[in-house]
Amino acid sequence: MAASWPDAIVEPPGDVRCDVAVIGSGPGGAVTACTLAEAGRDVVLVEEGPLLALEATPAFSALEMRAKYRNGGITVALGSPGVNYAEGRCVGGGSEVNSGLYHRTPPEVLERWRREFALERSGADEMAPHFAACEQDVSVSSLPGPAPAASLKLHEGAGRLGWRSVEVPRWYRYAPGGGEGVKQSMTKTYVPRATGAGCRLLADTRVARLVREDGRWTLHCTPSRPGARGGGFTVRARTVFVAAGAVQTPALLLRSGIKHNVGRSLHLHPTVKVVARFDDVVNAAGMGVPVHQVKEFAPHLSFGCSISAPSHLALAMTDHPERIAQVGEQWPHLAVYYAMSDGGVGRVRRVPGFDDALVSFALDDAGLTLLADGLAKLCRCLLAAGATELYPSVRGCPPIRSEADLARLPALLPRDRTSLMTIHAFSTCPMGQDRGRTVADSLGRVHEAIGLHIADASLLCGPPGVNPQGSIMAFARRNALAFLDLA
Amino acid sequence: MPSRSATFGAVLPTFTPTVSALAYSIIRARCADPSPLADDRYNRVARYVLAQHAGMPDYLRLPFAALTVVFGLTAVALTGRTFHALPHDRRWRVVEAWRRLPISFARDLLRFYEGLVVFAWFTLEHGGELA
Repeated sequence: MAASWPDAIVEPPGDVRCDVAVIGSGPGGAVTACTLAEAGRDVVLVEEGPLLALEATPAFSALEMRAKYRNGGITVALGSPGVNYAEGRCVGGGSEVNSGLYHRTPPEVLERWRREFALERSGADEMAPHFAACEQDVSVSSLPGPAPAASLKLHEGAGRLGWRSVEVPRWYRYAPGGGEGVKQSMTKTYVPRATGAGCRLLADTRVARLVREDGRWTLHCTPSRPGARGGGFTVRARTVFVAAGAVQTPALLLRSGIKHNVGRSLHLHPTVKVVARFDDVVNAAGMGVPVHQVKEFAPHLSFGCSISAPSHLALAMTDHPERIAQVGEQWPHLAVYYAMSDGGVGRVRRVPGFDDALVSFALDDAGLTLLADGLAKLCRCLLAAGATELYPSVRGCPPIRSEADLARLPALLPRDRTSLMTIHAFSTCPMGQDRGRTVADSLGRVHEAIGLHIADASLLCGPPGVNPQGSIMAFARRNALAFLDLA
Repeated sequence: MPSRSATFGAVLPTFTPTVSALAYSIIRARCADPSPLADDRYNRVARYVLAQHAGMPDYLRLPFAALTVVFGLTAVALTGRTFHALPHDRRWRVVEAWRRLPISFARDLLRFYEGLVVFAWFTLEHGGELA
């Protein structure tokens, strides 16, 4: 669906009043704002980051990290080992910077959440129309042509081992007949639809805290644009949807004195990387996003191929520093792959005197063993695909060149030598009817906080085992429609 | 308004020259670059690393800056000269000595800078921009 570029208000001249305020414009917030605005509600969408076109910076570049990521992409969940993670901080949130790979929440995961959190109205059949609507809105589609060579290598390796490997669809619009296509994101879809329906977009605006006063919520806001001169202002709303992401949503609730279970159950998909060398050419400038994932061991382990530009290859080689220089000449033969797991649990805390939330994550021995098993299986798959050398992100680990070398991989990833990362964070404010474990009810309404809802990855009860944005959008749509029904 | 890195430069005066010298040495040691040190790309990488440090979460920024200064002082203890005043080969001996310390955050500090520097360097080498 075509949509025009949204207008944003920066540093409004005075206080703002509305029916519904949505904080955060990523997939959860954008879907919520659009659904409510198109239903005729007076909506204000507040975003801490700037309004930038999807094309404003090259995808996966250093410029993009500076412009569109929180803290320039330098964010880490403290622990042993720590986990580097990334958060979008711009209008559209993570959808502006990710690969756009799309999954529905697996039915067995929905069933587990129902069983463990008493999550209602969330069976696969009940969620299906919400997934379908979002898939149409963001043009979820498969590649019309061949996948990148590095992606196909993973697929071939899995095929030779008899493992299940799938081509994951993406949020992409292709012209009839194929062609390169255009990535979709929230600034391409839901945000302009929301503003087209009358939603006001406040960009470069940080919400410091929420206060309940006289039957309404007051958002205490400050301009967040570098060099902004204006002071604070408020947004007053009858209803608030917080959709600032799995780290910023609990941080805002904690700053606002809302604490019950908040931030105590952070889940990630801890990921370990491997650089693989092939005799064939597998990499090229502008190679595109790899689309294959090995799902043989899902939901606890998944394997895929990452962005493999020379700068990303060099970064992935920092645990083998003597090999970094080779990236300069050999990069057409190199690609980055990952093994992603679902172990561990962390916390988001508020640190008095600091703006940024403190994130910690603990991966126990079972989690590190699972990830080590994933790393070994991934290496095996890549060897089956014809890789001649593998460099895991484990400092001091010798290169893997054969099946026999797999025995040299640690059975338990060493805490002090393993580099982990993730781009998936969730579950800091889980939903469900079990108040002992949740922050919000099954429809995202914060327990005992009238008119306060959550609408982002924070709500997911646990790791979905797949890229989470399909789940986030579908639950946001379901909950926004339920809000309209019940209002 | 002074930038955050300029502010650190005032509070910890050896921070900026230590980071710059470390960036230069990492490029020399890890990226096999034979060009003169006066090459503008070295400065662009160093500025990028300083900018990324300045954007770190606030509770990490000062500890990282302080640890970087401590790293620079290690050079004084080992050689009698500040890290940034040393020639490359002697700087790298300091780096290797620091890397052998049985303290994980010492290695983490070097890995942090190595990651930023090689990411920035290969970005420039392949036609990308840093700012």
